[in-house]
Amino acid sequence: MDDLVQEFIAETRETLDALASELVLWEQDPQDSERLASIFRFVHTVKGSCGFLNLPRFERLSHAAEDVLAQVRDGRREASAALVDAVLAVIDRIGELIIVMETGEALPDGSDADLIAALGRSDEPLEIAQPKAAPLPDDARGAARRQAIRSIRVPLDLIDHLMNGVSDMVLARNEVARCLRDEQNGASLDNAFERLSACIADMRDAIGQTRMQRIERIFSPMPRLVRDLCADLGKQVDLRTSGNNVELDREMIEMIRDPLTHIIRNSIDHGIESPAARRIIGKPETGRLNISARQSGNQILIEIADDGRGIDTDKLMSRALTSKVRNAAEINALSERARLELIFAPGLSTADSVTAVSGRGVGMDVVRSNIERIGGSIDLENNPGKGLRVILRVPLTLTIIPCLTVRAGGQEFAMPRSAIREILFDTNNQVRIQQVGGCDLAHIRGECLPYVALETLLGLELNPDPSSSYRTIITVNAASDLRYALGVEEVIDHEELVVRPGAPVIMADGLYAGTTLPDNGRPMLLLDPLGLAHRAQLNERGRLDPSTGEDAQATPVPDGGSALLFRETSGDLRLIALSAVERVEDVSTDRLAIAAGQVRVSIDGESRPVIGLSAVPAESHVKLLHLTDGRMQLMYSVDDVIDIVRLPAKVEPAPRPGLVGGIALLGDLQLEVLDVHWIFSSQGGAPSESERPACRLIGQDDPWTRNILAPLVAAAGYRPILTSADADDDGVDAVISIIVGDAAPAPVALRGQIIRLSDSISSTGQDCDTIYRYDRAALLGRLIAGQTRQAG
Amino acid sequence: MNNLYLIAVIAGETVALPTNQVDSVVKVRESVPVPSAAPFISGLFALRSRVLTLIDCQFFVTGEPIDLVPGQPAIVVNIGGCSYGLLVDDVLDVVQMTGQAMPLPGQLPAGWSDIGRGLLQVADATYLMIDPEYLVNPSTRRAA
Repeated sequence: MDDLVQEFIAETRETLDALASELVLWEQDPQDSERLASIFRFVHTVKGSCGFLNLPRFERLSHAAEDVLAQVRDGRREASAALVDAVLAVIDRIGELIIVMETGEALPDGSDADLIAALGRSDEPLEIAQPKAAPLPDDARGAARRQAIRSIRVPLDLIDHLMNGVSDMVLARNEVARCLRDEQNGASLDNAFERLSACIADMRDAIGQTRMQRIERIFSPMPRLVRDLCADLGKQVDLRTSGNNVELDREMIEMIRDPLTHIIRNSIDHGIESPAARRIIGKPETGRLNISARQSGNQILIEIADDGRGIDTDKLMSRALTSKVRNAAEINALSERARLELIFAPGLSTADSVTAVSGRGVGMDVVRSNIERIGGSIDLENNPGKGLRVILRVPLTLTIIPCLTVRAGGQEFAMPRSAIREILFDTNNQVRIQQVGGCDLAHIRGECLPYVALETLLGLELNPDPSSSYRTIITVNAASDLRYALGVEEVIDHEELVVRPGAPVIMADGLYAGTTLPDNGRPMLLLDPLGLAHRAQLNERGRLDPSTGEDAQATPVPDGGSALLFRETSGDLRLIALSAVERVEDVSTDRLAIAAGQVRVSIDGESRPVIGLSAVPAESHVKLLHLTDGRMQLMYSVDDVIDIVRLPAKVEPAPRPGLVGGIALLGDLQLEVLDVHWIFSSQGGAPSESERPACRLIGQDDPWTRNILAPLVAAAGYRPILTSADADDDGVDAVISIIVGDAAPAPVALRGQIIRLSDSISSTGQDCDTIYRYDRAALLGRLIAGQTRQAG
Repeated sequence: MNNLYLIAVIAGETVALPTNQVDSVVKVRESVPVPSAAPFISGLFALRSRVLTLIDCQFFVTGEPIDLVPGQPAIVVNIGGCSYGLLVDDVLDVVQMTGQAMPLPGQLPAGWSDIGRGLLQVADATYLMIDPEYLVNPSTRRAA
């Protein structure tokens, strides 16, 4: 509660500062309706906030001022100089009280009856009484104030500026990275650069975080608000919130706080009936109010649903007539929906009487303009007599969204990955595209989806000479009940992009959800999957195939999970657990090489073994499965990926452990299932450095020891440690110690085995622990024997 | 009161823009088109880490979209919290003007009268003062 009060203070102070000039202008020209409206809004906001913060003094003041201002606005009263003075006196008093609150003191007693009475009179000039707070010495007041302020409100401009600065740094970093790649530089520079990169990445994350907040922040004061409103109005309401952990831009949180409060007030004041009335019409005495938030693609949906009486459109129309918002002819021409939307007209209210809570007709118009200002929308679902559902849609801006970048018509676009279900090639024989009645349908594994090419939707030319002979089909989940297949030239990559709203003229189309700047520095548009569906007029057609999907999921058959069906380079069909496959990639053969007896690929800045290839193939590209166990990465070469299938619950185990772990029966086909564990255990390479046994190399730190002996020891699976002969025991428990040279003395205390490497062949054979330095077989034999003993 | 105006060339004619709406003047190397957007949108371009919308000023006057020449100047304006680049042929000068803007003459062709807000007199030259807010979102004024 304390921080809410703090926020109220900060907010009111800010608005007061901003209002100061408006007040002066209004004083000069009391007829200026625009100034009047902004002052009115301020007073209204103060009234609203202090209503649930329990600040009755503020509430009385603002309520009185609002009354008068409403009369002026409606033309029932002249804005005389005395009236302006009285309003200004009220606003001044609010400012003074705010300062008192800020010092952390209790509000001084004292009624503001003088000011409120002054508002009632309109003619004679008034004497404004000084506030009754005992004047504090200035320095004491300043000290108290310093204590009270614990949080800083950072202007969004500043945060934006920081964000831009960091983005600039990222771009600069990329530039440096390019330079470094092109010209070989020292390792130290690389390291420093790595640090810088990590630092920048961290900072970008941190700054991005400062803008994100849980929607809980607005939801948590709601119960209190509802409780107080119910107490005031004599109603009973059961409030439920869900989706508290949905994250939203801080700016968005600020922007939707007031609209949400307004809607809730309206619901309780006008929507939900009194317990007695509810009893009569057979509803439970306690009304229900559900507030839920969820993320849907690139929007946040906030739903406020009550089970009250809904909006009475007839009453709304008669109000519109009497308040002259619309004339009779206009109203009669309106559709039912447009009539409902009259609720958003300024100066209109369905409340029968003006209460302290609502009913002045400020509210829904402000609500809508606030929501629209942030690029959102507000929808009403009116159910007269049964309830009202208000749906706020606000965009996700300045959020980092995982995206797929695609190419269409020679241009690149981003698509939020959350909406993408599957990516297929149209050469896949599971996909069939067919024209039916002028529109294309894609049959994908028995499911029938509307199919559109992205180029057609955007009015681009289909690339007549595509680099590849096939197109890529993305199946998109635009909404819970709206799916379609989108054809693009190709899918390029998967990236996390910082998305910002585009200019209104671009966003107006609904095709785009924002703009982004990927690392290559060319701006990219983020597509809105739902907007694309609207453009393709998919909504009207409804769902094409309601039987698949949901029904199958409703009665799940226990099975072995999903598996990828693929063709080996040898031509055999095999299966691999889908969870082990991170992605499928076409890799240029240029990046393959035979190294250390294996075909290896250079990818993502690493060299990784490729399984399933014994030589670099002649084709220009190979298809590789990226396998991962969450830590290690392996590549598995395949001829083609065929399908995703469900594995049967029972997989017959293979008789011998190996690449093939079992046999699965799919229909009549017996298919080999790869043993992912075996692949990783056999190909995973040596254990990491620290897990290997130590081998101490004793002698001079000469090139032979360092460059010839140490690598051999390392290759045998040891961790070589170079020490000089007279060094103290450094705490390393070496399994084997190798003394290099005949002359080097043997240290006194040595644990484990000791081997002496002799410089000359003649001195060997004196005892079995002395080996000639180039007797490779004997040396390796000892090392391997030592390791097996260690393992045993 | 700031009486400085930026003098630029649109479709071969010199026009004036109030400098209090101008952020900077930049050179645009390349832009990315926005498919199916309004024809006066030339594309998007990157200014450091920001993405700006490039407005084709010439289109309003001639109805012909301009071809971006790499390095062509654009006037960066910030309207409604969004930054735009107004693509112009050239940027000439900043001048100080005194006196009031004169109303538009009636015989202006449609394109010019849409983007113009008044005439400005400086020394012996008269400039058409154009309205950046109209350029970045023409629908707002038509609706009003």
